[in-house]
Amino acid sequence: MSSELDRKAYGVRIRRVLVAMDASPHSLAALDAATDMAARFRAELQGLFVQDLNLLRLAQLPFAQEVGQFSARERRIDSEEMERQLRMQSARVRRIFDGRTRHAHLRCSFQVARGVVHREVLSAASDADLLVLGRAGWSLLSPRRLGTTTRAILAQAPGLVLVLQRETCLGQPTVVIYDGSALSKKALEMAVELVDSPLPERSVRGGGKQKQESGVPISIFLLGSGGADTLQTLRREVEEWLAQRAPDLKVRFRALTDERVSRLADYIIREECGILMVPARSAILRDTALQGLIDKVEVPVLLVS
Amino acid sequence: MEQTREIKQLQDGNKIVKPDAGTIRVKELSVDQLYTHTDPDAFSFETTADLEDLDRVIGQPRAVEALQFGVGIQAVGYNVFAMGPTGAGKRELVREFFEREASSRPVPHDWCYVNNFDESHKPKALRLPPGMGVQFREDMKDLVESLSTALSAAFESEEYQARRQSIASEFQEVQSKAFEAVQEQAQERGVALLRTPAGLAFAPQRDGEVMSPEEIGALSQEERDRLEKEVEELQGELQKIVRQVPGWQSDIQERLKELTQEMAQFAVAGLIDKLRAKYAEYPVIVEHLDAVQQDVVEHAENLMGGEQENPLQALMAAQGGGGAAGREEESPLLRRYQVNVLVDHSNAEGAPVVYEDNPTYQNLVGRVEHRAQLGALLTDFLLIKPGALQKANGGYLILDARKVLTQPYAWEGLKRVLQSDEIKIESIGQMLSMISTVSLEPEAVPLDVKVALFGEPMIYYMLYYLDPDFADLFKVEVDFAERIDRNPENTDLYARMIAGMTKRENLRPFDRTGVARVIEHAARMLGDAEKLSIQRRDIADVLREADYWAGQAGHPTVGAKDVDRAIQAGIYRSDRVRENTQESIKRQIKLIDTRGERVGQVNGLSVLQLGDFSFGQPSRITARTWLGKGSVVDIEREVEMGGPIHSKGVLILQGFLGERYAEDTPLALSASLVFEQSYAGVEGDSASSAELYALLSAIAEVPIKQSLAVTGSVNQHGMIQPIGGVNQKIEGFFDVCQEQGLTGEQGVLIPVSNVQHLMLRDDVREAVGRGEFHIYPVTTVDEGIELLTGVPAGEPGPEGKYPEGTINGQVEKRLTSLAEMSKKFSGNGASPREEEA
Repeated sequence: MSSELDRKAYGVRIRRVLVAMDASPHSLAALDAATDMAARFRAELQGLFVQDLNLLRLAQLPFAQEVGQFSARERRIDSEEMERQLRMQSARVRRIFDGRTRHAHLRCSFQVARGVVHREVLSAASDADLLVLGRAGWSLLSPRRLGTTTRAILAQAPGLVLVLQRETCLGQPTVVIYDGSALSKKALEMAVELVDSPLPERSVRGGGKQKQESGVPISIFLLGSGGADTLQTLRREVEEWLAQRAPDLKVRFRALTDERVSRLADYIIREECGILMVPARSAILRDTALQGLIDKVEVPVLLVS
Repeated sequence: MEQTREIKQLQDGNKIVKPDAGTIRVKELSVDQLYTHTDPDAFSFETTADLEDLDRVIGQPRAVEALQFGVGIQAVGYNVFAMGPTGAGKRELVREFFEREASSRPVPHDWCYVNNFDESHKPKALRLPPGMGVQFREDMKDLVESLSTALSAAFESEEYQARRQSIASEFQEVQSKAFEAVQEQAQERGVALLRTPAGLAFAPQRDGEVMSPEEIGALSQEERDRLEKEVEELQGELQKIVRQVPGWQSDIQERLKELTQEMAQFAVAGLIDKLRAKYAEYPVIVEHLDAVQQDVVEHAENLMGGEQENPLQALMAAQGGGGAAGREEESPLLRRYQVNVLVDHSNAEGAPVVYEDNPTYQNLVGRVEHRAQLGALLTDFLLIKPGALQKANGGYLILDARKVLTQPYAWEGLKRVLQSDEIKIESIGQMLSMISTVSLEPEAVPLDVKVALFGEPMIYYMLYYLDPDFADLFKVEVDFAERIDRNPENTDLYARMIAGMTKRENLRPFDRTGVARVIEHAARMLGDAEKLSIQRRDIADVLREADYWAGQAGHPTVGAKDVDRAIQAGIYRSDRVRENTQESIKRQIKLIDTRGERVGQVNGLSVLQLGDFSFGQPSRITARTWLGKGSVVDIEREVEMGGPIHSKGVLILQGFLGERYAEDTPLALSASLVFEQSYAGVEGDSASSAELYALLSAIAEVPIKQSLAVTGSVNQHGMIQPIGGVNQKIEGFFDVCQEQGLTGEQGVLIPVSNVQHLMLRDDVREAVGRGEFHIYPVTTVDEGIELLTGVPAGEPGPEGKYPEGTINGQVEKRLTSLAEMSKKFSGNGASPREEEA
């Protein structure tokens, strides 16, 4: 078993981080987290803003009108106006990107694409090792729900996707959901990798903000459907792997049997989790449960697939 | 002057009392008459250590009674002005009286300033029983500390957090439910809700994507109309919701505020109730506590969240706190609840007696200080500082009138407080409406203070005449005398006063000879053998200096010798100018003869005052006469070196001459009078008798003995009148004679009424005792001229003519011949009237 947890097999190398942005607070948090991650792994940071094709189409409709979000006033919109607005929005997002990464000493680039948002993001993400994005672009709908675009991206994401909430930043401890699957092993590796890669001295953003955490850096939530024995096995498996990979690392185990999995989110919240690492597909955690989990915990979530 | 009595008698008798003719009638003074000793053996004590302190002030019955009245009367405007010469001990006496009275009066109330929550620029004044101010301040300090903890606990409690979140999420729910409903409706109709950069829009969709114009174009007209209508309807729905959002938001804010206040109320009520119970008897405090509670509840969130009231302060705090804000540990909001104890009487016994040494406007009425923060001047009620008036409120305030008047606006400020009967703190700038920066207007405090000003009489009279308010505000005039009678009773009291002063100053005890010598000096200081000076400052100086010399000589007590030494040393320190004058006489630079005889030349005497030291010196006065129109030319006046009193003296001479010698013949004489070698001005009439003698000598052509010097003024009847500085004048001439050699002939003519002022130096007295120097008390000009010339003055005969061989006869003869000459020269042209003029 331990050979399966070999570093080579599941090792994660993050060379390029892609952050998908709009101008929402969620996406600002995403940008900060992306800068953070890029600095930790000395990776290249790429910013992406997608001009929504749907909006351009809307503008071409003969009866296209918009309702002011605050004024509630109806306005006629045409293509020219929409183009101009999107141009301005792109420029604004670029300015934000430039401003926040200026002092990060990273290789940075920013690109503007045009198309259906989730498709463009996914296509750009195919070149990246880590995709970072905000949970939702739009605050009018329930904050407890992922935005449609985010949902669509998560559903098809190929690699590592970090989803950020508004005004949260990466912290400790890292909570890993471990069910023994290959993806959960990758998640564990990623967690160790993260602990091993502290922020460089010349910190990315405001050194003062970086909390110097003490205590256990990683909490491992063991999920098994086979009762106490399975969980015991899972634990042993992890311990053995850790003994090789990071003998000095302190970890904490939380074992959850099947019937308690439904309350996973509560346990995670109680753990005062800094970042949550979850396998994107899990036999125990079905798709809906996973989305529910992301909806409920208000911490950054790294989906591993 | 004493002399007026005599003149009056003369006038009443309507005839001039003439001395016996022929011989020299003036008897020189004996040694005893030159100095009035104080007999040390008359004292019942050995040294001043045996004496009890004097429990009252000597020689000031008027001042004492006025003070008693001033202290006792409680009506408005009965403040005290103590006037008298500098060094008379006015301040000490006033203070003593006030302190005695204050000890039996109740301790006044404490005054505190607290924040006015309604109008923060008008802090409220609280009047509390003595000592309670500090207690209340400490209680409020504790309260503020507990407030932070209590509020933290309340706002960090799960109850508060949960309720807050529930309210916030309720809003979110209402809002998202509404939007989701529209979205669902749209989806049902095949329309997507999109977010544009500036708002929201609906667009028909197909397969999750917005339809392109081509796709729309491919639809039938009917279908297109339907879609357009759908979109329009949905927009209407959306608008309704968007319009509702601000309402929901303010609703939620209101409910959050209510929640916060409810929690805060609960958190602080207990704490404040405790204080309210403690101070239940004091409605002002309870009222303030109510205001505090209300304010805390209203600002609970700010108090907690560390939100700074002022962005500047926030910035300062962020910068690590340079400047005042950084030093203050408490948040500026918590400052609001503190107490500024302006006047604290915790440990006081009786009413306060305050002497303000530096009565500037601000030191009198109090001030509001400012703190500079990033270039801006900020202030609050905690920066109100008391002035002397607040500190003395309920008691007594003593001020030096001269200082009050020399400080800009201090007098105006003091008057305004006394007039308005309340103490209102305003800066000078505010008072003059010169500046309008934001400052405080602290609530005025009612005034209950008795003010005593002290100063020289000149200040009192000037204020009285120049300031119409003065008489209304300072109705009690306390007038200090500077002298007392020198009688046995007062001498004993004086000894006790000296005893008190030596004890207060920690000096060696004075033995009885020392005390006697000091008393003699006190008489000499006034230049009056029958009076004693009670200028405390000058006496204290002599006592201190005598003590010093006793110390130098190793004497355990201070005796007459030490006092003498002190007096001599004091003179030596300041008599350089006198020495120069004496030297210039010795070297014949200043010409003074002390032997021989001269026509029209006499030694006059003058006094020079340099600081507190004065000395006499002789001056040569000469007269010249010639045929003229009856005028005496005062050369000093002609060149404007003579003062008005001097000129008056000379004009009196003219009157005397005219009346005595030229009643019925024209005065065909012109004469000139001059102070030889005088290069500064001459003032005073004390030389007028000397001038008259010089003039008579010149007219009669009879020489005057230069061994004598003369002082005294003269009136139109030829009476000699007293002058000042008689001791110094005699001593001044004596010094010159001694320098040039005493012949036994030398002496000084003084007015008879100056004899009572004589307190002459030892050496002068000794010389008189040996018959080497003489002092003649003179009553009339005739007596004087006889002494000076050795020739009888002469009495008029039955026809009014003076006999031959007398001075008066000579003068009359000379004047008659001059009149005849004048008549001869002018022919018949000149009218008598002109001649008289």
